[in-house]
Order: sequence, then structure tokens, then C-alpha cells
Amino acid sequence: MQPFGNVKQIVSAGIDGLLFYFNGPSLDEANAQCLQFCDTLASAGLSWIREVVPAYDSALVVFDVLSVDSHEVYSILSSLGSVTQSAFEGRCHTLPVWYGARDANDLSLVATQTGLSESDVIALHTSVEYCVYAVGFAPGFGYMGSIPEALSCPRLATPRKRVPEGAVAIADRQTAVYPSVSPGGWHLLGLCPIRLICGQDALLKTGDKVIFKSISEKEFIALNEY
Amino acid sequence: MSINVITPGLMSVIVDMGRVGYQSTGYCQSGPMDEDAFFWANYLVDNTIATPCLEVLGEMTVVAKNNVCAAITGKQVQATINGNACSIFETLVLKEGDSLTFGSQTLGCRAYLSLGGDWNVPLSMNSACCVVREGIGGLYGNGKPLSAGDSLILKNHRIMRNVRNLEEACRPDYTLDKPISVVSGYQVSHFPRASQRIFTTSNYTITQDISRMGYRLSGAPVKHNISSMRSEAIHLGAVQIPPSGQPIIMMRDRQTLGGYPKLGCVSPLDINRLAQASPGNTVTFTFSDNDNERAKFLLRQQKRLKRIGDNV
Repeated sequence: MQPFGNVKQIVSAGIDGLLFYFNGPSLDEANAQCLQFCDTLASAGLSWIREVVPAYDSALVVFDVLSVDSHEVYSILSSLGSVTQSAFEGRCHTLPVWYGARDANDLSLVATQTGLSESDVIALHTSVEYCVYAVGFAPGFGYMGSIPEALSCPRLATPRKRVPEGAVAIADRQTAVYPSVSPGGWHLLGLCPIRLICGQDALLKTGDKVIFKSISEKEFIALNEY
Repeated sequence: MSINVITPGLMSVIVDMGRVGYQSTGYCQSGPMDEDAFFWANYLVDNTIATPCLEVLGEMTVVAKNNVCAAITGKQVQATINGNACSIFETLVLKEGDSLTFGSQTLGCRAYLSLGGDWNVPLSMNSACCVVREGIGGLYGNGKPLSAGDSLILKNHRIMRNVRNLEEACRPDYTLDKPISVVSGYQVSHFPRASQRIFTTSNYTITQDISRMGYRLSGAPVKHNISSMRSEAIHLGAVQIPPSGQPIIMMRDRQTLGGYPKLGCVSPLDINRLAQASPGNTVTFTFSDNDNERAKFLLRQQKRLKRIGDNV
């Protein structure tokens, strides 16, 4: 399938799914193109769309395979114009982190892999205002980026079966906080005491900004909402 | 009308067709692990496909508080009413006080129980599905599986005039000797040809690590050239390859996003067969054309509709 507009690549995701990747001079730009595409789909009122799942520079479109096939979906989506996007102002959150907390401490592993000291790892992680590029994986799990290049390290070769709630983690150029206990393949830096999900509502939304702040164990215990 | 849970088995959850339109906020799709068995269970009690069923691991016993139609489906399931063997894949008419015991004979395989009528269960995100991982859904809305003493309440329960049965030839094919079809996609072009060949020519064993989220397999490692990638949406049946090279097939309660490279998605027709494979079973995979798998899917749909039509 040929690229169109700001779409740079389209790949198949099963018989009822297509994954669209977006162009942009920066990840922020590609993410904005992606969110705009999702807005356009939402306002087009296409009855056969079952899911539109954006993340970073991609969007999965799942369709009702009894109504359309991937060729027809491509033909319709590639001929949709884009709606004008109003400037989106996300909220800014400051999330406290007890770095090196028990049960969530891969600091020495990260230090070895990056060649940094453990205190440099913490200093670098708190040095950037992050953008929430996607919400997913688990309810309320916000994918944030980008962490400094020097802090980048790959995922674990075999994912952990249990990551504690509130764990602050990094993988590649991404960072996130686990809102609930789940399996996970990222390196853990510490624990955040703030609850990220309440019922069906998530604290972090796509487009929000996040800053991490280092706190002590004592401060963590005082703030702990879990 | 109600039925009472006497013993819940290893894990029994309420499932329906799952949620639609919530994956963008991180809520999983959910739905029946074996959609074929789920579909036929509802058919046999003349329920619509939107009606919930119980999905049961291990052996469950329930007692009917009123007369009601029920059906048991799944892989290698057996059932008794008041201790006497009864049919599976057939409408059962339970009388007030009848005790129904059922389950798959194979550990890890699932049995489905349908009850004729409308289920009085809470909905989260328009679905009755019990998602343990999220702590959402099920009888109390909190993601807890059923336990002894729970009571399922039905409205408009019906006793069918003509019972239905599904003959052997029309029941789901659970054999694993035929390869599982995978529609190639996602990052498949980044996997060297040799790796793709390893994937389609090797035997993969179902490990103990299987859940409603995903099935971890073990066998010849599948290598790729992708050192890192951005997390992206994971569709049902996605074949994830973590750095260990051991495939993970993503199932109904999978996380919505993930960053491991993927070879494509298991065909929706074959995902049920895989879901009913148990630890120690071996499976093989084959790449199949998207249009071909869609045609097979539509054909199955037509057969289902014809079957329903024949009974009207």
C-alpha cells in the first residue's frame, strides 16, 4: 500500500487491522500528525471502525471485517482530507520518585549498561520535561519521551512477570510509571507514590507533560497513595 | 431465575464478546479465549452472540434454582447432571435443584457454560467481561473470578421447545497437527528470510506460561535485526518476538501497546485452536495470505448464519 499525506508506511495487522506510521521532522511532529489522523477518523463517522489506537508515530485501525476489507479501508482513509486541528494544551504533572526503592531497583544494571554512575542516572532522568506520547499497555500507563540518549538502554531479554504498581521505568528512549501490578520488560528506577488511575479515569492523557522529582524514602511513605 | 456456584474450579470468569473502542485509553479488548466454543454455547441455548457465558478452567459445579436451558462446549469437556453423564454441544434442560458439574479433562483447556436468557450482570465499558489483571468486570465489577456461593441471576429465561445439538463434524477442530496460520505483517520485513523459515519449520512447545494475556512458546529462537523500536498497538493474535527469540502470542486480555517486534497476527480462525492448546503441546506455524484468511473467515460466518437460519 502506497504512503499518502503524512503517512509514511502502512503495514498489515491481521485480517481486520492496518497500522499507519507517520512522518515528521521530530517525534513530537510525527506524534502530532498521528493524533490529527485519529481526530480525522473520529469525526468522519465511519461505522465500520472498531478501534483506533495511537502510539508515538503510529495508529492501529481495527475494522469490521464483515463490512470492509483492508483494500477498501485503505482507499477510504487515503482519500479523507484532514480536519484542522485546534492547538492542544495538555496538563503538566510533577511526579515524585523514590529512586532505588526496594522491589523497583535496576539502578546498578542501568549504570553498568550506560556507563553512568547511579546518581547520574537519577540526575539525567529528572533533567527533562517529558511528553506523553501514548496511553496504553495497561489502563493509564503513559508512554513518555524522550529520555536523554546517554540513559538509553534496551528492554530486558525476558520480561519480568511482576512489576510493582508505581514503578518508574525506562526502555530505549522511553520512560513510564506502571499504574498497577503487571508483567513488564523495562528497567526499573524507583517508585512513584501518586495513583495514576482512578476507576475508568487516567491521570495522564496523550499530549500531557511530565517532570520527575527525586524524593527520599521518608517522603515516599508520607505521599504513598497505594 | 438463578444458578448458584457450588465449586468454581481453578478459575471461572464471565465473558462476552469484549470491549469495543477502549484500547486507546489502555483498557484491553478481552472476550472469550475460544470464540468458537463461546459462539456455539450461546447458539445451543438460543441466545444472541452478545450474551455472556462462563469460561471455566478446571471443574465447576453449579446448581439450578429454577428450570433453565444450558449448554457446555469447549475442548475435551465432560459434564454430569446429578452425577449422571450428559451430552456436551447439546441443549441441556436443567430442572430446579439439578446439580451440573463440568470441565475440560485437560489442564489448561477451557469449558464454556451458556444459560438461556438475559444475564443480570454489571457492565464495564459495555462489556460483562471479568478482567482480573485490571480488577474490572465480572459479577461484582471488581475483576474477581467467580467463587463458591456466588449466584448468577437471569432475566427472561426460556425453556426451548426444540433442543439443539451440534454434530461432531460441525464442532470446533481442536487438533494441533495442522499448522497455525499467521497473516504476516507488522515488522515481518525486518526479519531475515532464514529467521522466517525457522519460525515456519520448527516445532514450538506451549510453556506453563500461558494466560488470558498471552501464550509463551519455546522452541528454535527467531532472530531479527531490530535493536529497538517504539511501542505500538498490539492486535489480537500478534506474534511477538522478544530478544530471547521465543515467540509470545498475544491473546484476549493482552496489553494494548508493546515494543517487541512482531511477525504478524494469528488468523482469528486459528486463535481458538491455539487458545485451547495446553502446556507441553507442540504447534507449528505457517504464513498465510491476508485475503485467503479473510475469505475463510467470511465462509465460516456464512456457515454460522445458515445454521442459525435453519433453526428459525
